[in-house]
Amino acid sequence: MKSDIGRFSDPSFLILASLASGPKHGYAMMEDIQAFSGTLLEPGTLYGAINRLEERGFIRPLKVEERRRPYEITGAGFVLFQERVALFEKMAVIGKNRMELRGY
Amino acid sequence: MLKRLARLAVNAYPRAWRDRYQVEMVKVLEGHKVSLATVIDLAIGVARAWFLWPHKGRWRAQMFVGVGSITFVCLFVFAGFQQSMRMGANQPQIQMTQHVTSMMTHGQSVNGFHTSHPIEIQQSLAPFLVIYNNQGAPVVSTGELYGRTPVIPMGVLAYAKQHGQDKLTWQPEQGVRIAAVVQYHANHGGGFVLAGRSLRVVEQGETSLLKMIEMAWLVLMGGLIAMVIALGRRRKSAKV
Repeated sequence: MKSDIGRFSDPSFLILASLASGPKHGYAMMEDIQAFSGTLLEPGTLYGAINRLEERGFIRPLKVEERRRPYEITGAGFVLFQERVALFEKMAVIGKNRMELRGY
Repeated sequence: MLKRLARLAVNAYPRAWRDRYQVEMVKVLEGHKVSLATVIDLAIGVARAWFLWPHKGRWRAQMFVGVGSITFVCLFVFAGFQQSMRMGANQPQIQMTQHVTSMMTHGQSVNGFHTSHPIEIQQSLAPFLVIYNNQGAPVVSTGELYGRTPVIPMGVLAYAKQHGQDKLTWQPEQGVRIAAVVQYHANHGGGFVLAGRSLRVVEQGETSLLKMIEMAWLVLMGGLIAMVIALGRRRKSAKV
């Protein structure tokens, strides 16, 4: 499957990051994302991103529990997550080097 | 109230989306502190689902939402520009009434505004002036409609006296529409200064604007139909 990194915006990455620590339903994802990134994903954005990730096979729904459906990250989703983290790390190193060049 | 709006927004998603996500979205909303941002976010989600989500199904509903949105935007743009043009048409008259009132405050006599060549209101686009005494009788007029000073609608002067100023669209004769501003003043025992000018050019501008908006509406409708057909073909080929 094509990784398609460029077409993913931050909500998709935040969801993958949240699910990387284990399956979660929508509300638990919102709370987890807010806790680790300070970003509050509203339900419209959250479910739009869940839909895109699910249709591309990066997350999968699990059995409904009390009207809440948990999702888990798939193998392809974890690979995509690793690629994005690696990209961010590379960007962070470059960014730090450039800051040092300017004396920060 | 906001929670209700958010629930309504969830109900506005396409049916196929609701079949898949509605129950869990409603559950999320139950625990979430709903704000205006939540409602706006859901409204954007609804629009994205209707226009960009390829599995939404019913094209009639898509068309309905598309036609409604395009029509609303076109009407909104027309109303905005029309209002702006109409308000702009009052500016010279506002300046004139203020200028004349100021001149009278500084001792200018009413008779100083007399003219031997009055403007023919039914033909000319030039602004004209009518000065009324405190009883509402015209004392001086620089404009005439078929040889006579046009009669101002009842209640206008009383309103201007009460509020200091009145702005109105005045139709003294069939086919003659005037943007008029009436200013009350307390000089020379009190009275009113009316400045008016024909709305013919403004109305021609409005007609041109309406034609442009109609053209834009037709082009957007064509684009919408083409988009719905293209999406329909894409869905069919995806099923194969």
